[in-house]
Amino acid sequence: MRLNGDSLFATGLFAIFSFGTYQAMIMKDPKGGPADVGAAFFPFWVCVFIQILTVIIFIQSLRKNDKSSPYEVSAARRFSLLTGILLLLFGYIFVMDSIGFIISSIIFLVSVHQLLVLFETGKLSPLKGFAFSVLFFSSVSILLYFMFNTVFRLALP
Amino acid sequence: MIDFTHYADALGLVLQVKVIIAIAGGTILGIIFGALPGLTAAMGIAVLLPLTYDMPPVMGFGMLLGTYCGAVSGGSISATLLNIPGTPSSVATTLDAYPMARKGEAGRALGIAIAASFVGGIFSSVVLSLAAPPIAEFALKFGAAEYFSLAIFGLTIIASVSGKSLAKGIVAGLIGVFVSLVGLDPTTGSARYTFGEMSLLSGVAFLPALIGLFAVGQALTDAEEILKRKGASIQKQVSSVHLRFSTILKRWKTVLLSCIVGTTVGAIPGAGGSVASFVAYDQARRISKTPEKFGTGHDEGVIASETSNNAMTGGAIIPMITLGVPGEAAAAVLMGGLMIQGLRPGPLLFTDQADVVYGIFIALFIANIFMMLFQYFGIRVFVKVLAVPRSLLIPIILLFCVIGSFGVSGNLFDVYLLLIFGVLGYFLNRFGYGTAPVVLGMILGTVAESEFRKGLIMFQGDWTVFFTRPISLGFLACAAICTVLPLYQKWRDARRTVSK
Repeated sequence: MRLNGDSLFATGLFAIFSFGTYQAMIMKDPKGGPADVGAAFFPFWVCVFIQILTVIIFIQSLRKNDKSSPYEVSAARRFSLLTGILLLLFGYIFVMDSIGFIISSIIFLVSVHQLLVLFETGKLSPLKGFAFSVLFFSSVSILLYFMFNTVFRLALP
Repeated sequence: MIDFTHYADALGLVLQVKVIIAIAGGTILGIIFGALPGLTAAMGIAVLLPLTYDMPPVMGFGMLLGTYCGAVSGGSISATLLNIPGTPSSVATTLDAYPMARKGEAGRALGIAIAASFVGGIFSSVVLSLAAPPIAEFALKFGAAEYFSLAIFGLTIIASVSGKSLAKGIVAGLIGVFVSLVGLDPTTGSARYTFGEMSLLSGVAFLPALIGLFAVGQALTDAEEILKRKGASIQKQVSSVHLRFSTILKRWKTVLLSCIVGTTVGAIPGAGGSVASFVAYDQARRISKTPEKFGTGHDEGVIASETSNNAMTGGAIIPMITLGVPGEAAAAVLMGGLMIQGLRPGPLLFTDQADVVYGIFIALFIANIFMMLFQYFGIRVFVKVLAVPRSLLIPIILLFCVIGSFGVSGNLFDVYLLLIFGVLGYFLNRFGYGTAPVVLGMILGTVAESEFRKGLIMFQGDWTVFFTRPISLGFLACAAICTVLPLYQKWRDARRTVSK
């Protein structure tokens, strides 16, 4: 028996919903009438049920003798790629309001593309490929900006 | 009952140039999404949602329906040419279409798949237009107790059929219910889990959560796929495709059976296209005169799978539009498409917005016609799409997700929500919980809580009301069966294994 991704995820959910249960216990619990169960009733019981079920999943995942991973790639590579994309996405959202949609989108798109190319081929795009990437994603960003702003009347930063 | 005068009003809404263009555009994009392995119908609809914000309801929803039909059918392209199902609903198609392609009959396999998809789609759109109005009329009789029990039934059936494990399915559904509880309590106005954040007072925004779970989560999974398929290039050619209606007619029993199976399974919440196509494939083999040919490149295998997965589309919309309980993941996203138009799916939609509802029926019919025409005439173009590098597509999909989340309220907080739900969606998929139960939990959680408390207040705290009203009792009994049955089957299988 050893911890695997499944059991770790179940543990994470257990921890989050333990906090949810605690919050429901200290929550102001006004009632909509004498027969009402109150505002904290559903949150409390939903969190408790999730806690019970995650314990069951945790035990089941430990019982499973899962030696073979369904993934052929190493966890470190997978983690690096996903963390990279998420950090870029976070950074993009963070700067979008201050530097504007078009510029932030071009930087984001080119960066994610280069990151994916790097993980796919083991090296960054050559200069020609990088230039194509900048040109392509600049066109996409500008086109989408004008499409959403003018045609679909969606105000972007 | 069906009032045909509504169709006249609805035709006026649908038969407009811009609406037809929207349906056609949605269908083309849907086929592209379906053809590309890893991009699902739900993801396609989620990504295209922001385009519909400013459209009239029938136009916007028609576009999303086109995407839905196109994606489900487009999955057969990569299933045939690459042996990789474009969408989960075309997994069964690979069993016979790919062997046909290997024999040099890729064009024939695609021709059969397109014709079968068309027949299945048209059948289900007719069933939808005939079955939905009476169901909605029946649902008008529902009160608080019935709605609560329906929500519980919806949650249990989704949890029991959608996930790999019952416990994981229920946890995913309950996570969705939990998310629906965030914000001001609708009965008392008390804040729950808002932690002082003003943006959370009105609850977790539905669309960013939806787009995050289905599109960002899936995009992250697709990005991971790049690591597995290092430097893979996809390039296939199809010489000619002829629609094989004559083959379809010859196999009419298989077609009819697959239509019925697809539409019925589609209407069961949580079952989805992959279940529909496998059940139909299995049934078709049972009634076939040549069952031994299945899996070797047999027409009937392709017909069964493709007819049923497109017949599922109309079936999945029936519970969504009549009861507010989506039949599968893509239908849940479609429901989001209705909600952003200010429409609340359920029986009242049939009385308050009848022209829109009937317009949707007609739009689904038209989408199926477009699906057939575009695939037939544009198959060479769609095949070329398979060669587009994933590293170009993933960033654009993420960009669309950000625009979609930001566009609803113009609030960057919603985009951070998108990020959180994207990560949640990725992990839920990776560990076999599934994302569909979360979304359905978000939809049904609100209904379950408000109707439960409303019921108790109305009946002075009498808990028995949920068990004494016949319809409510029926739903609760079905919910109990849905929970106990998988457990019993598991126990029986375990006992058989031990005895062997």
